[in-house]
Amino acid sequence: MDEKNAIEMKNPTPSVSRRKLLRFIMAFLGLFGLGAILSSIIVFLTPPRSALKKVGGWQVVGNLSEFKESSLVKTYFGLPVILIKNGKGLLSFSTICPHLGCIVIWDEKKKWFICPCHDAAFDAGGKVLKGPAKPYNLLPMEIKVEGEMIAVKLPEDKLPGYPSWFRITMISGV
Amino acid sequence: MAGWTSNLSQWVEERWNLRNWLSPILDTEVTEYKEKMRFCWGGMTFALIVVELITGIFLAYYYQPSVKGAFQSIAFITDQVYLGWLVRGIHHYASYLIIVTVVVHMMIVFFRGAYKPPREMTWVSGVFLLLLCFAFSFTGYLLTWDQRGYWATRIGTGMASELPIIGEYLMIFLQGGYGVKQPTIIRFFISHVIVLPLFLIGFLLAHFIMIRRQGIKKPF
Amino acid sequence: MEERKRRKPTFYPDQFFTEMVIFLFIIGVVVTLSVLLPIGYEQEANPLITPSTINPEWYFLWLFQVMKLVPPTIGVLVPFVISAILILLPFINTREINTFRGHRWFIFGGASVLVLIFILSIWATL
Repeated sequence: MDEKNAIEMKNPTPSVSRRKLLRFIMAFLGLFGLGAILSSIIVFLTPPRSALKKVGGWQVVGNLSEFKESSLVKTYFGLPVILIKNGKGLLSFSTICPHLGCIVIWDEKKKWFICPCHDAAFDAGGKVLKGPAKPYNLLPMEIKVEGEMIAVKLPEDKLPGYPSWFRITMISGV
Repeated sequence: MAGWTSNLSQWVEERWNLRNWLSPILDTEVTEYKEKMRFCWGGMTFALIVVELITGIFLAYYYQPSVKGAFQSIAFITDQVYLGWLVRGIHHYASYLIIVTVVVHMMIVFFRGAYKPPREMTWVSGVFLLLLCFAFSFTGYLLTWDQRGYWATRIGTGMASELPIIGEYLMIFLQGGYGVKQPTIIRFFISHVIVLPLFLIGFLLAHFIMIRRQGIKKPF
Repeated sequence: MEERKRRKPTFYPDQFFTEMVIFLFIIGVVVTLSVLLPIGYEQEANPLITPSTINPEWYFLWLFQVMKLVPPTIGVLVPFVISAILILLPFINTREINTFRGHRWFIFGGASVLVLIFILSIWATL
């Protein structure tokens, strides 16, 4: 009687079920290992939260006396911001189109801001008129005038309602 | 001419007997091929991919993947590097032609019904190859760091964020951070020259092995 | 010579050399294009100015047009849906048919999608 037969004599139950169990364990470990490797790769390639550098807060734009009536002034603090002085007073908003992030341009003939990417249009106050940006307006900025100094407040935190890429762009700048 | 080439092949054959070893590939019968030229599109795509690999390697010798250096290095390759304009031109136009040959290749397979079982996995690997081609063009487009590439990438990654649930994560993942900036160039560059080519070679191998094992569908 | 005629065409040399000839022609086209229409380079990227006309590569034009017409979330799902259909195609249409007539509806569907993509691409350039 050789060794193999001796083992089978000691274990009267057929070894098939044990082989099945072993194969199951191997498959489980294999899948687990594969999942661990794949998820580690994805986790490694995910940019850390600390990569988000915030640009928000109050920023001085300039002197009140420098602005002529109806003049448009663009200033940038990592964000394209427009400051308008009209009959009613001062007005400021971002010129990033809330559709997909192109910079809108003032069309003097049609008297509106037009987005060169997908033809969204906004009126002189930043309200959306037509195109795929609906229902979002150009993001208005808070303005503060202290003496001669004009400052605008770039968004520091959540902008409820706007698309997520827009919120991120507004907080981190371009 | 004939003399030294046959001497050379004899010299190779005596040592390694390659002809025999490669016989399963070289001696595959292609009965349908002779009359029907429409079976060349896949092969042409592969040949153009080889062209892209070679010209791409040459371009990588001079390219700098950084916000400050990318555009300057592209200008340098075009204006200063000997034949740089030609290598860039070939890389550019061959990529256009790949889209053409791939689409024609797929159309012919589709209209012949050649994607059906038992060749369904060849088709699936082909669809992944098509998606890889688009991934190549998307990542390559940014690398010149010109206005077109930059804005296409901002719009493209912004579009990704509109996807439900995973959108925002996907955008940050693609951009390698927040906004299209220095990390984005690095991410796109490494994807374009290392990661995507590895996937491409893998899928091509699978595609070819399956075709060799099964042969192509008989014309009707 | 007789034997050569009766021999069935094989990958090498028959197909290989035919494809090499076609490939040489295609390389000729690529080099000619690079010489006649040198690609050069445009303006350096500026995050604060979007160029007045902005178009993606010609093979993405149809998607660009779709994005103009539908809400972003639906537009961005379009390429995913198309990819999914393409991948699932051989599992949907499995019947072995050896005539064009046999799967004319799939041919019709595929052709209509191609025509639609073509029309959208043209529309985007207008």
